[in-house]
Amino acid sequence: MINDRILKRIYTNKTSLFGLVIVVFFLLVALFAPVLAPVENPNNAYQLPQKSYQIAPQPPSAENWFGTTEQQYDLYYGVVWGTRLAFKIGLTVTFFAFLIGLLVGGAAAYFGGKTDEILMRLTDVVFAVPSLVLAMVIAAMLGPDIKNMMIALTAVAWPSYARLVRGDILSVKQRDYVTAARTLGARGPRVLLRHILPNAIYPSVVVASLDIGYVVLTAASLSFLGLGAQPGTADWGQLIAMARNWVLGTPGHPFAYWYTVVAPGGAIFMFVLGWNLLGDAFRDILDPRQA
Amino acid sequence: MTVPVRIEHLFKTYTRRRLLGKNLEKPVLKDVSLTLEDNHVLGLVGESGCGKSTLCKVLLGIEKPTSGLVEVNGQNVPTLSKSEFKKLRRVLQVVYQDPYSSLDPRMNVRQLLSEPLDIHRLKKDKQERKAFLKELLTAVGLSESQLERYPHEFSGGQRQRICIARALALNPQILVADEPVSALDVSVQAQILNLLKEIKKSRRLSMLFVTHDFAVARFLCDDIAVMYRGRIVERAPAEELFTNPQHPYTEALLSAVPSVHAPRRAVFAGQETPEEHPERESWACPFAARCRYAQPACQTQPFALQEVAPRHACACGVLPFKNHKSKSAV
Repeated sequence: MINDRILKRIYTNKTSLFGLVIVVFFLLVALFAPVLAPVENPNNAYQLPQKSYQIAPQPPSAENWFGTTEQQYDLYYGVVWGTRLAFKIGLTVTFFAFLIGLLVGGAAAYFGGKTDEILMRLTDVVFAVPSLVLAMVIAAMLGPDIKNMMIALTAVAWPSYARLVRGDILSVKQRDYVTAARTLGARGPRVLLRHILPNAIYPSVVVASLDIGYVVLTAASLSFLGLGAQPGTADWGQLIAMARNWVLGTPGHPFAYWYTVVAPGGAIFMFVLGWNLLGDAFRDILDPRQA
Repeated sequence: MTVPVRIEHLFKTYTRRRLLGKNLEKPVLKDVSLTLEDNHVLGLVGESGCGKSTLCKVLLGIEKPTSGLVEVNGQNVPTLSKSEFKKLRRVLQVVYQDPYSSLDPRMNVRQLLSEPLDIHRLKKDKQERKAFLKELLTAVGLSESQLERYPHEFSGGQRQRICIARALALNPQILVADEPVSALDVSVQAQILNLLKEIKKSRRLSMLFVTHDFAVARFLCDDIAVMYRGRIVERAPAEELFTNPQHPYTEALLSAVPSVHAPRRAVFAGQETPEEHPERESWACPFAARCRYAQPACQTQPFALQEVAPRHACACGVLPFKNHKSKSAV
């Protein structure tokens, strides 16, 4: 799929180029995290180094570039390794949610009838509960842990893919070129794999690319609420959670501890923004009519 | 001798199941009988919704008939096994109405044209395949250089040429053309019609040509069948039909063709009724309500196609009789 045409489209569109630059930047940070911020605890790289046990955060300094947060956890280390964790969470959750949605939605559309009814009512049930609330319930039930949080996020993310895939398959199934392929003698599997899926899957791919950012955002919310990463973990949500007591600053100095929020908050903001812009670019690129 | 296509007493009723109450039944084809002769073009003419496309779908095996016989080369289509059906595909091919929606937007011309060959495992040798595709493109007036292009890069007429090439890839004997030019603008229509005419001659094709345009039918067809509300109301050789229409509906359609030379005449007696009485509909003349020759007998007399001349059948009991009388009176 990657060819000159696609690259040219990304280069010529400034916003999508911007999105690509952001995502590539984060990707490099994630890849080179051990270089950028050497691991201090070899057993758990995501464990934030703690400089001392002093409570109040310290502003950026030569030693701690982004400053330290509550209990002297290093923000720079947290943001760098948090990037790696964000990719891990975003990609894993989106991948599995996409896969489950594709299987459920595909089965519903392909078999139809009762199978369709049962599978779609099931997705409706998941849809009926606000996703963040449901994710909180599942994460709380499974216990606060990054892995459990990813399971909870996957459990609430798949229904939108199932619905999207089902709808797109049903609509593509009716198109003339599918009938045309059948009249040429093509049978079920060929029609499904060569004509229906390639034309039905792209809207979901676009949603998935937009979702990576959103999943990371939701993961941060869960961590903030104490349902994901534990205190001391290099997780953006957790870093913001640790800033909770310092956000308002001191009396008369509302921005006294600004750095506790700006570094992890900015990272989340840029990460989500990057994926959103890139998702928009994907949407344009995957439409074959725009050459 | 077996004819390419023989349809006898074909009925097709669509049923919409409802959870409560009676199922809705919509009869679309009623007692249709047709014969497509070898190397002939049979035109199927009629207004929108009269069942032309449904007839094509039944013939192609996309829809199952409610009852009746649909024979292609002596084989009854609805009863074919899967593998026989696949073989039938190589005999019977189709060109659809809308060249914009009948080509997969994610396939380039090479993939589109290779697909029928891949499905039927034909021309597997690379060189042979290449030469075949080139020949195919030349036959429909496209060039080899356009192989890597995608459908959206072509105009409507060119797309229809691709569709025709795709249908011809299997070297069929029968071509079903479901309004192949009605989505194209007039200048392009003529090119596609000429192409179809040429292909019919060079490949000895038999063709079922569906259209609602009499001018198009006259240009291409050897025989014409006129449909109204799921029935064949008249069937005759093309020239005969145009010079001597026997059914009031055919007559009305022919005089409704706009002309710059002659003023339009009022040809329909009444408005079209959306739903006719279901009981009467099932057996009496469906056109009686709009017919200017309508007699009380039309409401009670059963509907039947009768030979009025050699190869010329008409389902009206009033007009041929009237014409005959007026001619003999002169």
